Amino acid sequence: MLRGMPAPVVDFDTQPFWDGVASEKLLVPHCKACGTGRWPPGPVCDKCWSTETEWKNTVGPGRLYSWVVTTHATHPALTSQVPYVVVLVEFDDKVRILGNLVNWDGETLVDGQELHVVFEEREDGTKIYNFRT
Amino acid sequence: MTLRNRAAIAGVGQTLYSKNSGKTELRLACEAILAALSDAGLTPDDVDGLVRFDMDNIDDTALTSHLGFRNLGWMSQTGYGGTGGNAVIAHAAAAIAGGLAKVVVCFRALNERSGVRYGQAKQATSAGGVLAFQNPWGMLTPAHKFAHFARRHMVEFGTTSRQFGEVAVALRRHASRNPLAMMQKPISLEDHQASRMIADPLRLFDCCIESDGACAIVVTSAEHAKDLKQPRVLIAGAAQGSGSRAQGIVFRDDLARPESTHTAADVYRMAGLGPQDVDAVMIYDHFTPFVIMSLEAYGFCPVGEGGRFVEGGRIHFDGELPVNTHGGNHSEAYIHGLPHVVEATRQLRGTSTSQVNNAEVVLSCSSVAQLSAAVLLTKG
Ligand SMILES: [Zn+2]
Repeated sequence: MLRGMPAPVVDFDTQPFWDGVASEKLLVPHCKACGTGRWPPGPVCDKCWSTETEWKNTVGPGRLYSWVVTTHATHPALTSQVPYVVVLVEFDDKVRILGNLVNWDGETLVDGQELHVVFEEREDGTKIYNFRT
Repeated sequence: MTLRNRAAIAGVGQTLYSKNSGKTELRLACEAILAALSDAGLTPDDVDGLVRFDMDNIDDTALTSHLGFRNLGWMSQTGYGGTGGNAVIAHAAAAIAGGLAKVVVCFRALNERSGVRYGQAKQATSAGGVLAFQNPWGMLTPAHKFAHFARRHMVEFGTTSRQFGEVAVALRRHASRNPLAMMQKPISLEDHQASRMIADPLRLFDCCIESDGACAIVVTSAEHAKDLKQPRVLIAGAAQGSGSRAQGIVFRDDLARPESTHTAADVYRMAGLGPQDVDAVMIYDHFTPFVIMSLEAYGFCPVGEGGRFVEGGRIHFDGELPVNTHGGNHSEAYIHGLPHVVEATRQLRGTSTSQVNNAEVVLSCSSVAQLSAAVLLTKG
């Protein structure tokens, strides 16, 4: 878990998702009318324009879609924390969620490899989600 | 109705580009606009239209007050980010073709190096909207986001860091021939490969520079431009596009193909031209992989072959398809892509410092990943 990063702001469209994270669940919004996954959480389905949302617990594992290893600290809080890996992880509903790979030890990552969801505690005591191999 | 050849670029101007201008952005904008008007043989009294970038910090009432714009009748602004460099021209051409304005000034001014640097994170304690799903994990700057496009292009097509380096070497070579450019020292492929990682797979020499400066462009009707001081440059086509799931840059469906497919089709169709007609290309080069991806999107090579396409000097000013003959965002200056249109104009006037022989058609395009804009310019 990266320290000193901005905390997520919860709003009307994202409240159920963050409530889920607090109880260690990844509740991804899906359209109640047509089933399309929605990421990031938002007010309307981009396929059928329904505003009805179903919050589905996504347990994974997901598959690695992309990864970037940041070696250059662009924020004072990151100086002692580089390198860190940001991954985009794809789930069965095609939703791609971004997080850190918490147990990266410098090994080569492979497109499509399985990654598991983990939950950690931020400095302020709130929960955050991440990924591990 | 079409915009084809209804409007023309009549004047271009810019300030010095530097790491610390020592001036206000307002002052820089005024200098660039007066230079562009003077280039066209016009004065602020002739101006009746103004287009700004949505990210520009300048209060437009301050700008129009100080420049004494007495006849301003039409104003517009464009998003998003670096697509603005071409989008402002599209807006201006549309206003002229639609009879809303006769002389339109487009500008961009920023103290981006000495002021708020895009390459450094804002020290915010909270992140709302889409940033709530990015910032907490250290995805803070443009490099962090755009590196994912580089990664997917490498994964899907086998594109290499050395091929990104081919782009960097060409752009720096062009800058080394351009007295306005901030980065004058030529680099080799080995220098690129030895440059430090910023956000793997992006190295330092894959990233554009940060600059202070301004530039401005005057657009008028094709007819009016005939009577002005400079050889006119016709706006043969102009287009803007927004892909699906544009929010947050990295959440779009396909990261190996940045948005531009429909912008490319639109701009070519409007102009009645195709990639085979283009003599030089100015590409929004915030990061080198986007030169490769844009060459694919605008039909200069098949999708996936851009990495091989840029090898062997093909995109140098003396190569088969010259790209960014001014040095681009990478090595001339980062004024959000507007200098690319200035350079396209220079090429068509025959005044580039890396002049392409017999340049008659120049494409300027920007794909900032999820949004895009392009203009096709021809010799009047
Ligand atoms: Zn739906």
